[in-house]
Amino acid sequence: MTNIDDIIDREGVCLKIAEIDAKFRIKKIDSSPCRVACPAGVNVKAYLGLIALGKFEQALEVVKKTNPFPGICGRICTYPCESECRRSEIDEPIAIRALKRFIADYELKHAKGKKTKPIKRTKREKIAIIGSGPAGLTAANDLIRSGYSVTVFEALPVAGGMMTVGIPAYRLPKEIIQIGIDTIATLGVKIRTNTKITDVDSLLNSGYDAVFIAIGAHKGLKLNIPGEGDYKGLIDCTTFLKKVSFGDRNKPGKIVIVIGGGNSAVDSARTALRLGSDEVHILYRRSRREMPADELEINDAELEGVKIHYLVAPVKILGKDNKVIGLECIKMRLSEPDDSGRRKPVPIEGSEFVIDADIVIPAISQKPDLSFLPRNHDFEISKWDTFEVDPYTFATNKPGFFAGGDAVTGPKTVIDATAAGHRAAKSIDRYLSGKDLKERISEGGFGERELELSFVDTMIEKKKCVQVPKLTLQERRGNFNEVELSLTEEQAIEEAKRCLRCGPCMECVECRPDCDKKLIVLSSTGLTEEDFLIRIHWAPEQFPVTDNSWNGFLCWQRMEIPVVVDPVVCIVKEDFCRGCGRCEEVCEYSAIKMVKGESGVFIANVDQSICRGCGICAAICPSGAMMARHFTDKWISGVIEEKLKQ
Amino acid sequence: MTKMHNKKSKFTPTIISFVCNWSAYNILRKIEFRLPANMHYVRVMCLGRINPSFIFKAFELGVDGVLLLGCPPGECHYNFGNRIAEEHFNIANNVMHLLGVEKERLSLIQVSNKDYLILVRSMKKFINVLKRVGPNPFKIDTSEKVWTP
Repeated sequence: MTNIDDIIDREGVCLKIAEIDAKFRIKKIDSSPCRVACPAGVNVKAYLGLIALGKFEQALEVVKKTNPFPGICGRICTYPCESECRRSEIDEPIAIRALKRFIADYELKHAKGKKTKPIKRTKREKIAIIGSGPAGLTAANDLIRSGYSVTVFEALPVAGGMMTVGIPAYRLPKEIIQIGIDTIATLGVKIRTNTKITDVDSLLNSGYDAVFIAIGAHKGLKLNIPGEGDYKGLIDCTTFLKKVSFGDRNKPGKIVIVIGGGNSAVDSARTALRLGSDEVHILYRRSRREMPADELEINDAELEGVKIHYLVAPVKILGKDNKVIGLECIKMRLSEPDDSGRRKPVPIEGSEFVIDADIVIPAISQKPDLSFLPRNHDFEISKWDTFEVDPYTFATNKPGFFAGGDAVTGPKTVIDATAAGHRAAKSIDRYLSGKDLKERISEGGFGERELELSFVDTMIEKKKCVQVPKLTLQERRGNFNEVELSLTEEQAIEEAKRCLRCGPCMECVECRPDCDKKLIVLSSTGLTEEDFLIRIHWAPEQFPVTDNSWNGFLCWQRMEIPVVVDPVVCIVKEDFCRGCGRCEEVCEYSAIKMVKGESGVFIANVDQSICRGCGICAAICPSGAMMARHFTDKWISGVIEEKLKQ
Repeated sequence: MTKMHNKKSKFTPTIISFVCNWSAYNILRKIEFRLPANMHYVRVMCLGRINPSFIFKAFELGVDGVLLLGCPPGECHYNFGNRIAEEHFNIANNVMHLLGVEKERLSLIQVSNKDYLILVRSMKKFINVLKRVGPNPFKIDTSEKVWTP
């Protein structure tokens, strides 16, 4: 049996107030860790909850509020939410990414006649966006919805940026990206492919009022080792992946060596394997633990036959007849952790060895390709060739120019770029409507309080994370079919039900349309329970519903927790009791006795086993020290006022 | 002080009734809370819980009548609650007399668990009386204040 107070702290959801009043009390403690972890602030808990209820379309709506590419992120996101998931303290984190992918796929299967309509232009200003990657498209999506006219310029023949040309089709099919882009295009965004901007400044002169530079980071870094550039057979990973995504299915070479440990290195290796290379090696100079690529991707790559060599660094590219024939490498060891806690790789003297290779693909990092800027541009550029911007507003040093995404941060993830797109769109909106840019953009008021596992969570049945279905090794060979498959409806619902729902309310705002009778009340963080109840009773109009500050909440039965409602008995506020003894006189059960308190004054004491909770002593008490539980003065007067308002 | 309303006017009095959990509330449950228009109930464990301040609070908020629904003598769940309720009722009546409020606006009805018809009849009667007496002239503008008993 569980005490009601304990549940209110963690659960607080959908309990009728002690069966006395048919109002639901809903409490919001804090944002859940998954939402705080997400760069774009996607309301993870809400869509998990809606999936658990089987409301897949509403779940997708929740995602689309903050992330216009659910299908894309559902496949390739680096899921910071899952690594923060508190379920991992019990067994395994929720497969959030797989669930997001499921609802995106569900829409594709079941969308019938539901089409997005163009947004009516309400504002005079025109905005140019350079680059049609996730950052650019997100900003375009936000800005067109605010009523601006938006044009996206793309140098490549296809839109989508790194999502299209950098991520191989077996991870992210091109159709999925095209759907995301089409949705944005139908809103009215003009996407001009094959249009390379050569003069940025002239954009402002030719009628655009603001420019958002989201060019991404497409230029691979050089290895800076001897032999680089002397021989044929050295191809940068972005160039390689771009070529493949444009349809080049030629075998790159018999033996392929990829240098680097990030996702693009693993992508290149797996791509080369699919194109028919016999041997594919990955060289990484640290150990597997430090490898930045996704754990699952590394597993899959090893499964498919990619050989990964850890603690190896290239020294020299060997060539013959103008062609690469091999790579001289050196073994490394990890130093002791330095002040920042990182272990640096240190070469081991005399451990050089040679690997044969036809093709060497460096995939060490990328930087923005700034060749489109004129020579005498006056943008502030960092030493990594990225744009220097204000970290809050994303404004560059030139007025009217904003930059974001990989062009500012260096190579990062889609979800980071999406977050940057949102921020930049807000900031451009502020700039064009003449508001102060420096004023800090609201972050949405996420708290960062640690939510601890409570006893309720320890009662939960342990259950492993769902296994995402995958193609078998034979099915993967020689083609670019998508490796990971979608969950079934039953699997998705089962998986979503594992969510612990940190910080009780889901904040899905589903209850708002349902609740005509105002049974569900909106609350925010920081209200004590009593405060909250008084406010419901006395000032419902003080709970305005706007998207940012107040959320409506839906809640569903978490588990069948037996709940004990406190018995209706009288209690004494000892600080208020003056010891007059009127309650003792009036109580015919002799439940009240006057006892000597700490300060030596007599105060009333209720024997709760005898008290039957009529509350007459509370009516008699002149100082208000006596209270009948659940029938306090505040409660009764609150009910009177509220009933009269109806 | 009050204007007498003629019977033809469409005035429906607003009534707050304090309901004892053990007798009248059971009857309300049987009739599925289908109360006359503008009549609201507040459930309490015992009518003795209602001290005069709640009655005046209701009048302050502009109700036209307050109905106290309790148990007849000898049937109180707590043996003594109806006695206390009567005391409170008398105090409230006296204060209302001093204030110049018509005494018809406050009524104590004692019904036992089964007396469904008695309750309905006395409610009708009370409403008719209030229709004759007219609206409450003592309504205070409560938009700003916060009142605690």
